[in-house]
Amino acid sequence: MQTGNSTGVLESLDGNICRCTGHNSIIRAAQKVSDKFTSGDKIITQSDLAEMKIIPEYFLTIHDRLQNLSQSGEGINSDSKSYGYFVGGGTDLFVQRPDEMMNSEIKLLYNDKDLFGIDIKDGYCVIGSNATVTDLRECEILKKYFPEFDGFMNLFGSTPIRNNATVGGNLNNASPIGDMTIFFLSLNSVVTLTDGISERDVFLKDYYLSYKKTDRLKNEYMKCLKFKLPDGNYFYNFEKVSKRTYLDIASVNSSVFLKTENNFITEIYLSAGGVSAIPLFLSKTCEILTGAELSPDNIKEAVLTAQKEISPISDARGSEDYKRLLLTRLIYAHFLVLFPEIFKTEDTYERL
Amino acid sequence: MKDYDMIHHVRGESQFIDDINFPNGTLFASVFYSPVAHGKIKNLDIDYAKKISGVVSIITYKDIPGNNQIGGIVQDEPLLAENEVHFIGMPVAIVIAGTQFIAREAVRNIKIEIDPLPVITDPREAFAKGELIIEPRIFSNGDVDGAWEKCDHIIEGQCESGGQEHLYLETQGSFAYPVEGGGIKIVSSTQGPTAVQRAVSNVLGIPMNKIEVEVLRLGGGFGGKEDQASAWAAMAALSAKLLNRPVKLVLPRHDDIIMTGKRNPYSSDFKIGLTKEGKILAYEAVFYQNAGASADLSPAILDRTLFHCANAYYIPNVKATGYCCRTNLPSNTAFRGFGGPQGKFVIECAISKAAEKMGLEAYDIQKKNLLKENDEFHYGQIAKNVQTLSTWNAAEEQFHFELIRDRINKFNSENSNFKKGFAFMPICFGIAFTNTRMNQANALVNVYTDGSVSFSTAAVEMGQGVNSKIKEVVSRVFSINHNRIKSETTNTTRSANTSPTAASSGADLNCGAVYNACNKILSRLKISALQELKKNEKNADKILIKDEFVFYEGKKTDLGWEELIELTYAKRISLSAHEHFATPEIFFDRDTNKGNPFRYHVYGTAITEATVDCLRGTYVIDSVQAVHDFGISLNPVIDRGQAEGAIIQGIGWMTIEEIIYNKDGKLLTDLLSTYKVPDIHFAPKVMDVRFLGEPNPVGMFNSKAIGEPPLMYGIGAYFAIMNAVKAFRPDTEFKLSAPITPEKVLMNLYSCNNVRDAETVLANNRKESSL
Repeated sequence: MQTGNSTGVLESLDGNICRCTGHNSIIRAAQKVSDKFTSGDKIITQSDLAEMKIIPEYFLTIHDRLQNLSQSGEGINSDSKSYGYFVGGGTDLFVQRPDEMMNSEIKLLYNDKDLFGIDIKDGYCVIGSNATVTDLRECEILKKYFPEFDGFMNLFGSTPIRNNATVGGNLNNASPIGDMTIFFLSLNSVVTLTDGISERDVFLKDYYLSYKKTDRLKNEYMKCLKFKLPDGNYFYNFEKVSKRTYLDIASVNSSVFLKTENNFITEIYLSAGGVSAIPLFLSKTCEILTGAELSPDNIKEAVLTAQKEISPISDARGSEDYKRLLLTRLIYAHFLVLFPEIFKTEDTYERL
Repeated sequence: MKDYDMIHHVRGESQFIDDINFPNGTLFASVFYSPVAHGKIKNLDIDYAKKISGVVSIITYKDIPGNNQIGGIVQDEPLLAENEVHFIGMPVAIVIAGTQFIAREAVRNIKIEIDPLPVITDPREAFAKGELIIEPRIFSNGDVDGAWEKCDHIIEGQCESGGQEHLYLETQGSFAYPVEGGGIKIVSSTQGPTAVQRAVSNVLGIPMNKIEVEVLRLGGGFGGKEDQASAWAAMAALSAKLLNRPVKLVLPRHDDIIMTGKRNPYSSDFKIGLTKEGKILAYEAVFYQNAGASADLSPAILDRTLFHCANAYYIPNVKATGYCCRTNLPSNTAFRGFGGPQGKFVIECAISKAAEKMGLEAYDIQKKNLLKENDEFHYGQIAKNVQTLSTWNAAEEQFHFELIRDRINKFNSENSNFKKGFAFMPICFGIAFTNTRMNQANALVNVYTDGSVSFSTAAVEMGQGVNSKIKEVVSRVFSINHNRIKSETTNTTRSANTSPTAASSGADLNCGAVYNACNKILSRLKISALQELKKNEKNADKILIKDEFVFYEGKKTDLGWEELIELTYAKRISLSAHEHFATPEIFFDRDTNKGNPFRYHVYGTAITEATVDCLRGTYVIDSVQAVHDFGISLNPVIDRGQAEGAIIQGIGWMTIEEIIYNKDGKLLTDLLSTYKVPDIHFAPKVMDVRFLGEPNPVGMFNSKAIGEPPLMYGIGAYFAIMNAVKAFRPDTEFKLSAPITPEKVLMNLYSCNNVRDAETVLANNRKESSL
C-alpha cells in the first residue's frame, strides 16, 4: 500500500466492490492503518506487518509459493496452431467464458520472455505484448513523451486488473471500446504478429476487420506493438465516459494525437470506441482536419463528419442517440482541453 | 462497542454456504431456465444432457412429490415451469451431477421448444390489458376532489423509478441433506428460515416438523433473500429427497442476476395542489408497480408505497392508488425500503416540479410542509415524537446550509463547464411489518454452568450487526461482559414460526424476545441469590446484578456471576428460557386502510451536493450530510455503518444502477460489466451522518430501527444532480426518470432526443450560413 495519502489508500482498495458499507468506513479504516506507518522514517515491510499481527504470517510465503507453482506450457513453439486460445493476463477471457476456457486448449503467454519489455528502437517505442497496463504507466518512455498517459489509464479497470491485463490481451480481445486500443490507435501504432517463425506488421487502424475479428491468423500471436516517438509541436488527449467513472467500460471513449504549426493542424489521428463494431479510427474526420486551422467552425465540421463515420448501436452502455451525442462532446472536449486559449466552452453549446 | 462478526470477516473465518465442509457423496445442482419470456412449452429435451457422464439426474415438475407451488402472499408461483413460461430465467429443470462443472455443461445441453406468447415488460401496458395481480389499492384522507379548487397552483406530471439488483456478495444458495425418518435438513442463505421451511414442506409434501432450516449468516440480503431464497432451498431439498444424497445449489452470479427479482420499478402519475405560499393542500398519485411474473411480496411492497407516498409531509387531502401489475419479468421483490423509496421519490418529484413552476425553491416547500407532532397520517395513525423539523433545523445549522447555498451559487456563476447542485431530503419511515401478524419473534437464551451465555433467535445475521445488538441487550439485562455471550445460528428448531429478518425490525423484534427471555432467567437468578444471601427475605427486588456481582439493597456482595450460576444450577432452577415478543399497540384494517400500523417512525434530514461536468454529462456526488434520528443507539458503530451503507445504496439506485430489459424481456444488464454499483471512488468525499440523540420511548433501551430509512436520503442525489443540470440549462424541461445516469444527464443538458435529426439541423444551418 502506498501509505500516507488518500490516493494510495483508494488505489490499494479500488478493485473491490462492497455492497454493505458504501466504502466510507473502509476508507477510514484503511486510512487509520496507513497513518500508523507514516509517522516515522522507517519503511514498513510485509514482515513488520506480520510481526504486528496485521497480516497473518503465511502471507510472507505467498510470493515464493506462487513462484513454485508449476508453469505449464512455457515458451512458444511452432505448433502453436494447436492451441484454441492464446492467453495474456486472462482478465477478459476468463471472465467472459469461464466454462469454455476450462475445456479449451490454451497457451499461456505470460511467461514468454520475448514478449516482455518496453524499449526504443529506430525512433519507435516498442512495447512487448506482455507489458501490463501497470508496466506502461510506470514506464519512463511513456512518462517522458506522454506524461498524461498515467492519468488516462487510471480509468482502465482497477489496480489488480491493471497489474494483470496485457497490451496483447487488450488489443486482441478486439473490444470496440478497449481503452488501450483507442489510445494506441491515435498514435497510429503498428502491431507485429508472429507465428513463432516469421513476423509481419499491420497498422492497428487496419487490424480490426469486424466485431471481435482481427487480421490475426489462428496460429499467430502478437509479439509487440510499436509507434513512432513523437517530436515537434505535438498534442494528445484521451477522453472516456462510462456509467461509473472508475472500474467501468466506456460508453464512448476517444483519443487524439495531433501536431500543429501556427494554429494549423499538420497531422492528426483521432480514434473512438463504442461507436462502431470495431475500435474506430476516424479517418475521414482526420482528413478534414489535416491542414485545417484550429477554429471552432472547423471542429464543428469535424464533429459532423465523425457522425457520418460512426454506427453506434443502442445497448446497455447507452442508446445510439446518446453515443452519437457523447462522441460529439468528447471531440469538443479534446480541443477544449488541449487549446483552451482558442476554444471556449460556449462554442460547443449548439442548442439544438 | 463493535460488530463481533467483523473479526471473523476480516480473518476470513466466517462461514457461508460455500464454505461448509460438505460430506463425501455430495451432489451439485444447476438450474435450466426459460430462454423465452412468455410462451407455451412445446417440447423439453433432456435426453442428451442426461447421458453426459457424471450427470446423476434431471428433475422437472413431474418429479415433485408435493405441490409445485412456492407463492407466499398469492399462490401463483410454480417452483418449476409446467406447461407455460412467464419470464426469462424461470426455472424449468434441475440438473444434478457429480460436479458443478458437469451440471452446468448438462444445463447447456438441454433443449427447449417454446411457442411464444406476447411479452409485456411495461406496467402501464399490463394495467391496460387488465393484468393486475391483486385488486387496486387505494389509501386516502380528506377530500382530494374537493380540495383542488382551493389550490392556487396545481401541477401534474409523470415520473419513473427503476429497478435495482440486490448484488448481495453471496449469491443465493442452499445445501440440503436427508436425515432419518424422511426428513430434510437445509442450510440456506435466507432472511426467512420459516418461509423456506414452509415452501419446502409444500413442495415435498411433508410436515414442517420434518424440515430443519439452519442459517449461519448471509453475505448480504437487502431483501433479496426475504422471499426469494425459498426456490433454491426447495430445489436443493427436492433433489436431496429424491436422490437420498446431500445436494448443494449455489447460483453463479450470472444465473442469480438473470433468475431473481429486483426492486420493483414504478411508473407513476402525480397531481399536487398548493397555495401560492407553497402549502400543499392536496396530493394525488397513481402508482403502476412492475411486479414481474408473480405476486411474490409485491402486494405488500405496494402497500408500503401507499403508506409512505407523502414522505415526511403533512398533507390534509391525499389519494394514492396502487396497481400491482403483472409483467413477463422475474418476480420483483423486497429491496431495502420495500416500496417506501418508490413512493417518496414521486412526492419529491411533485414538489420539485411545483417549485419549478411556481418559482419557489423546493426546500422552502419541503420545509413548510413538514409533518408536526400529533398530525394524522393519511392512514389514520397519529404522529408521535416527530423529528422532522428538529432534524431539518439541525442539518441547516450544523452543516451551515446558507454557506453551502451561497458557495454553490458563487461556483455556478463563475464556472461554465461545471455546475453544482444540492438538495434537501427529509425522511419519515414507519417501523413494523405492515402485515400486523408478522410482528412477533421468539428467542432461546441458555446460561451454562460456567457462566457463559448463548442466545438463539429468529434474527438472521447478514452483515447488519443484529447479533451484536442482541448481545448488547443480553449484556445489559444480566450486567455481564460481552465476552461471556455468544450468538447461535438461526434455526427453525430453536426458533419456530418466525418472521423474516426484514422491515428494519430484526433488532427490535428479536431484542424484544431476548430481553423477555433474559428477564425470565434474571428473575430466577434473583430469587436464587436471595435464598443464598438472606434466607428469610422474600422481596427479590432488593437484589440487583451489576457488573457481574450480586448487590443486596444497593450494596455489593461477594457473590459473583459464576458462583451464582453454579449454585442456581445446584438448586435445580432452570437456566434457560424461551420467550416470545409481540409488538404492542399496532393494528391495521385492510378494508378501510386505516389504523395504527407502525410502532414508531424514523426521521431525519440529509443535504446532498453534486457536481456535474456539463461538457461530458458525468457527475460526482460531493457530499452527503445528514442528521438522523437514531434514537439512543444500541451500537453507534453499527448504526453509522448501516446509515452510510444505506445512503450509498440509495444513491446507487438513483444514479448509476440501471436495470435494462429489452422488449423481449431479456435483461441486458446481466453482468457486473454492465450493471454498475457504487465503487470506492464513487463514495462521496464527505459523508457526515450526525446522531440527533433523541430517545425513542417505545424502543429497546430508547433505540430505533436503522436498516432501511437512511436509504431514502439517496433520493437527494437525484435532485442535487438535477439542480446542477438546471443551473446549466434553466430552460430545460427536465424528464423525471431515475436512475439519472450520465446518459440521461447529457440528454437533458443538450435536450435533444434525436441527435441525428439535430445534427441534420446543424448541417442545414451551416449550409445556410455558408451561403
